[in-house]
Amino acid sequence: MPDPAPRLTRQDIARRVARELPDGATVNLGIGIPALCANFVPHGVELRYQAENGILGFGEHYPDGEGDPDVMDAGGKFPKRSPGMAFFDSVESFAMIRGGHIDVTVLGALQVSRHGDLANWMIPTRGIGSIGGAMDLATNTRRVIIAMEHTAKAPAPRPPSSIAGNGLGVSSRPGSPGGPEALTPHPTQEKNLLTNSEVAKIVEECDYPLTARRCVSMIVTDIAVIDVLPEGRGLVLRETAPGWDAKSVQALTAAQLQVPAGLKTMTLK
Amino acid sequence: MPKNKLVRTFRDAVADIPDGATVMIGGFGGAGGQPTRLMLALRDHGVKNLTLIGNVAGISKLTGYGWPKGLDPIDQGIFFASGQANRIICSFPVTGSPNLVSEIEKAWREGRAEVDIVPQGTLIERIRAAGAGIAAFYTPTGAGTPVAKGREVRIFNGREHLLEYALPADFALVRAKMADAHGNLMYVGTSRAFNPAMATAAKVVIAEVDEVVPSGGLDPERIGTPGVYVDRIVVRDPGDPLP
Repeated sequence: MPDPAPRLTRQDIARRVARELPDGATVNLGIGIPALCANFVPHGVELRYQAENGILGFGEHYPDGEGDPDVMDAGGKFPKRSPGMAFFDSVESFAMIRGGHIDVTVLGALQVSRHGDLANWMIPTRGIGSIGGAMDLATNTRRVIIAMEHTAKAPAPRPPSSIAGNGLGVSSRPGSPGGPEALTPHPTQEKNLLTNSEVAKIVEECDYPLTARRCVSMIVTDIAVIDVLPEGRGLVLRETAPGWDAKSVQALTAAQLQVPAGLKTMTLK
Repeated sequence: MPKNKLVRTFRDAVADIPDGATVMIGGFGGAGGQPTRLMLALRDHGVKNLTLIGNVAGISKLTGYGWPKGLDPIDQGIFFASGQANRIICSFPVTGSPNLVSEIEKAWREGRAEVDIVPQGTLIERIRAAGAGIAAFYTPTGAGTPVAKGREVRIFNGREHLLEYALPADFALVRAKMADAHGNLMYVGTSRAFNPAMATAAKVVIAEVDEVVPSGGLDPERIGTPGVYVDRIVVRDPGDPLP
């Protein structure tokens, strides 16, 4: 099925997510589209940004590559010093995160399941990935919003044995033969394939390595806004991008979407 | 515990790190808070079979992560490029793109290195525990994920938690702004990160600083690492071009 209308830009996804951030909230934004949200916070809403490397209360950044390396955010960019800022070490930073003191985190995703399971740290065919703060944030933050493109490009068929290590990178020992996961095409490539070029990222069950179970509250993509109901009660389509309807969004989604009577069109002023 | 903690050169400061040592490298990832001069000295010292403990590891050279423009970034990848390290325990060892392959990922793909990927909050708490006399602890982070493989699981307050063990090291290389003769360290900005916890968790703690001041020269209210933890201090040359 051809797209009924253009998909939203990364900026528009961030613009829509930004409206979900309540005045006064303490927020941790992941890298990529999530980090763009800070540019679109509605007038009158004041947020406290936390970055897990040990900074709270930053805002404006220096232009790329400029600034003071002793004042960094978790994306490796350099914020300006600003009034009310706090610095702390990583023990304190993860006490803050694990202890549930962050109100909202916005993260990217490789896959989200209908139960709100999140996979965002490793592409299985790569065999090695980066967890960073994502597991602590996803497991322990009150509200987890996913900002991502609705689908991914279908991976090109890979030659076997291009990766030497074993299939799961959590403890990847040298010299061990590649597990079956490393050498065969990932089942996702077939199961969640939408067309020859596109793979669904919103799926019944994640088959990528999980970041956290049942942690996602909301998914904002380039074609839809979806709520994840608690206790695994499924996905509710709340909004579609202009020109899209429930059917065209469902066609690009590998999990069943519940469609309420009050389905809205996303407004992006 | 040496009374005089000041060591004249970076080379001298790392000279007794032996083959097979486990070495913590402070900072978060990026230039700020990274003990870059100590790392270069350790590489030049030529030891082998190192196990490193770090956080964001080995991606700055490729991506510029945490480095100001116009400088050639240095990261833990130097020990894998030189073949001196064969294992790293860290949270973020690879870039977001499979096409940007770091020295660590390259060493792993070629079967030259083992990479243990640990959630960042679990990694820092394991280091903290090692320094604080706590053998192990339970955390909800990682439950139901590949991290839980081989871990003891217990339910507290209706949630699954994983048993995680303390992570000590033989040596810790840390970076601070200033030190005094007692080894008290003062950090600035986000250059704290993993440094204060690592400074408690190794048998020998070596601090790289911009400046050493006489006793009384640091505000006791602003000490990030009390001197009891610090064994050696090395001062950078004034005007060192490295951040």
